[in-house]
Amino acid sequence: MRNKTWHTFAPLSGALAALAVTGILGGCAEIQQVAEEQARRSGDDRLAKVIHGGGTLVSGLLPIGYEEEQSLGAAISLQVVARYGGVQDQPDLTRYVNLVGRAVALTCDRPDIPYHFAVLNHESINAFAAPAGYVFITHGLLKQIRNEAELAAVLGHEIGHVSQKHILEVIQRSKQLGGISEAGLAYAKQNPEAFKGLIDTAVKKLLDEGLDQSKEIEADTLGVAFAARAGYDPTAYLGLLNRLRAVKGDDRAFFKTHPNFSTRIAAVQDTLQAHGWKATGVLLADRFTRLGRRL
Amino acid sequence: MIIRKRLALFIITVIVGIGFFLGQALAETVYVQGKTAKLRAGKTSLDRVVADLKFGDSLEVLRKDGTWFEVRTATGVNGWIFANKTTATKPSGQDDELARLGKTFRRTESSEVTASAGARGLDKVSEGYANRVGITKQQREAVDRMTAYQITDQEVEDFLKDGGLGEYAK
Repeated sequence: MRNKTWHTFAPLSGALAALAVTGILGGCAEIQQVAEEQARRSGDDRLAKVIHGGGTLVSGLLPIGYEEEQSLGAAISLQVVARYGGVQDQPDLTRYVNLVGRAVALTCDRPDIPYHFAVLNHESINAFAAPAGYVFITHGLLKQIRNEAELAAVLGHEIGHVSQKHILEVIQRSKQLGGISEAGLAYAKQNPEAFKGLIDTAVKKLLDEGLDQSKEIEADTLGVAFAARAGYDPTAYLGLLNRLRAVKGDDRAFFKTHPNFSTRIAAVQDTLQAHGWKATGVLLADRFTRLGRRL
Repeated sequence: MIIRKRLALFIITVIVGIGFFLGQALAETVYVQGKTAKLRAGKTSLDRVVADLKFGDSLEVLRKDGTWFEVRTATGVNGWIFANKTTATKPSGQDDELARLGKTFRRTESSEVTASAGARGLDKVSEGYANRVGITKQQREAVDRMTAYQITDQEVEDFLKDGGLGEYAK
């Protein structure tokens, strides 16, 4: 009986498998879906599962697209806002931080997505980025800043995390390790608990453990580069890091999530030297005092 | 005699061909690094804009003068661009082919935005997540406002101008 069934359906199975492979390799979900439904209708559940599994396996290995990144970024941002006292509601300050951030983002390596900036109601000294261009700076860090060039470099650091998709890499890795194949909207609707698991992993890494130190150093380098491209003094960031080292000390990390100040200062100095960047560009201390100090 | 003439013609053709090839090979190409950039008739921000360029456009460098490059676009327009708006390596886009392929598989629905969030606010998935983990209305609205916050490229341009940034450096 088993043999008969196999012989009866073998040609159909072969055709459906070929159709599914075409769909999977060609990136056409509809073809894959038709093949899967056809297999199920013909009574071959096993083949349907194989076709579904093939698509799932391939999709799990593929990078996260921007629309999914947006959902992930917004969900992570909700947690950042919840844990860091909410967002300052001062229209002039919001506008100023967004203008500086946008000026820097326009020169970054990923300028074609929207970036959103906000000041968190929190006195700790910190800044965060979530996927899809969400950037936060705490009130505590803003108070330490003396000019617009320093602010531009801090926002540039966070923009660097977004442009290099550092948090997305964490999510992608946890997706693969956890055997989760999809992180998209359709998946989240079907399985909100697993989506929550992905967000929890990303938030833990972002807010509690921190990214790899090499990613933070890379973000420092990019922050200085983006700010310099926009026309700010590329050496200004050193001033801020030195000031924070004086305030916070160097034994502990700036934030528990970052390398210590001396490591970061040395890396920024190396970057400046390697590119031959001098103290050119503007600081805009007056504009920062006028617009960024409305706290 | 005819053979000599043909040989001379052949040698000239080869030399011209090699010269053209070397010229092409040695021409420096840069790419627009910013989201947008202006190609100007001269090397100051006060000069007339002759073309609006976009991220990733390739430009042939004709001359370098301080912080400005004289370039030719792929469509043959000549002009000057602020050097910091260019990069020597071709920038990659937001979603590469693989990411687009992934999106197709995952069958995402980009147009699904909640009525409460408006056309630019949180999507249904984020709203669903917020409900699930007990995010307050106030916190939700904060991220919603942040997502929907708009600043035009022109406003950023005016801001750069006001601060003497980039090509508006004094």
